[in-house]
Amino acid sequence: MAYIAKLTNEGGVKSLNRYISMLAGNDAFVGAAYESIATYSGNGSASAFTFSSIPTTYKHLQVRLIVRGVRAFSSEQLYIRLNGDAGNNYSYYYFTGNGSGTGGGSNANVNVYLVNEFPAANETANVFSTSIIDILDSNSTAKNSTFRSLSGYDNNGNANYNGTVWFGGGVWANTAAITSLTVLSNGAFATGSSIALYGVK
Amino acid sequence: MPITYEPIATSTLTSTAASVTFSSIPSTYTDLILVISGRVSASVGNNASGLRFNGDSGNNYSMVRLTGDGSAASTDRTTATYAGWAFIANSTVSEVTPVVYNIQNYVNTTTNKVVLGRGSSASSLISATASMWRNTAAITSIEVIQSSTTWIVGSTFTLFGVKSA
Repeated sequence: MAYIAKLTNEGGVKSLNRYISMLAGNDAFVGAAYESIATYSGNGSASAFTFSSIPTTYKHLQVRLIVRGVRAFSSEQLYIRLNGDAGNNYSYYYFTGNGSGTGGGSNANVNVYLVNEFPAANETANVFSTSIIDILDSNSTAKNSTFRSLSGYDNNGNANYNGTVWFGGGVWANTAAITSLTVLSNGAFATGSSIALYGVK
Repeated sequence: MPITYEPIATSTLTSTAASVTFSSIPSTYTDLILVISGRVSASVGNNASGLRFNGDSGNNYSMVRLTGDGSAASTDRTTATYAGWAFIANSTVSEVTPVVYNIQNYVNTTTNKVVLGRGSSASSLISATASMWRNTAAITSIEVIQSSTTWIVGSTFTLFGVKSA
């Protein structure tokens, strides 16, 4: 074992202070518990972004995003898939309010998790939807993975769709650890859209 | 690994105040998260918290809200001189209200700014809101207001920054 000598503040080598670890005599390193993994930006042409090779060192994953669609619709739907699974292995419930009425729905055994509906090109310029999606215990192989999400936007009542607040919850019927996550829609995400993935330890 | 979620500033009221302002917010983060633990001095009514950005007190904000009161769900929307609109408790109850606002991509100059909010009073209501500031400017200051007269002593306000890769 080679010994490591620690430099004094004066720059000299204290022969009496010999250590076998670079950590000796220093504060312990405490890693961040909430870390940024990667971020994608909308470019007007891509309708899906995949975070691949997600480290399995995290306890939970969180997606934070703002999005808008480019197609000539009032709204688009935002989806998530895990580990590239496009089979009918997702189920979800949602609960919404749009300022004039509450609503909700569910779907079982479909090929995506529905996050929410977001504004597209027919809506007021510069209006984007925002979402925070949590995938809890994403590294567990003992239980199916679950989603929870809160999304929304307001459109100032100017156009076809006032906006929504959207609660969602769902499950991916698979016990595999999550190593990739795809955020997708039926049309491209507009410039200004931003989709960021974070890991929570 | 750089720290990605860190406190920017915090304020605990030692006297009542109508509002609390976070100014000179660094532009080095991607999102802002504002956490409030407080209530207002009013003794009646359902009160709301609100956010004003960059000193803008004009009628440039709009929002939609979803509320549950223990027996029914409801929704409403409005345009206003503030964003946010999450419920906070009044002085007839002993608890303080937890409110969390997420202000996404606050530095970009492409989009109107969007805010997700959650607020509740354990004795009466729970609410979630989505609101918009019709302005594409980067947010550099946030004034936290309320629909009553003042925030009570002991109310706390903490602003966090979240950095993305």
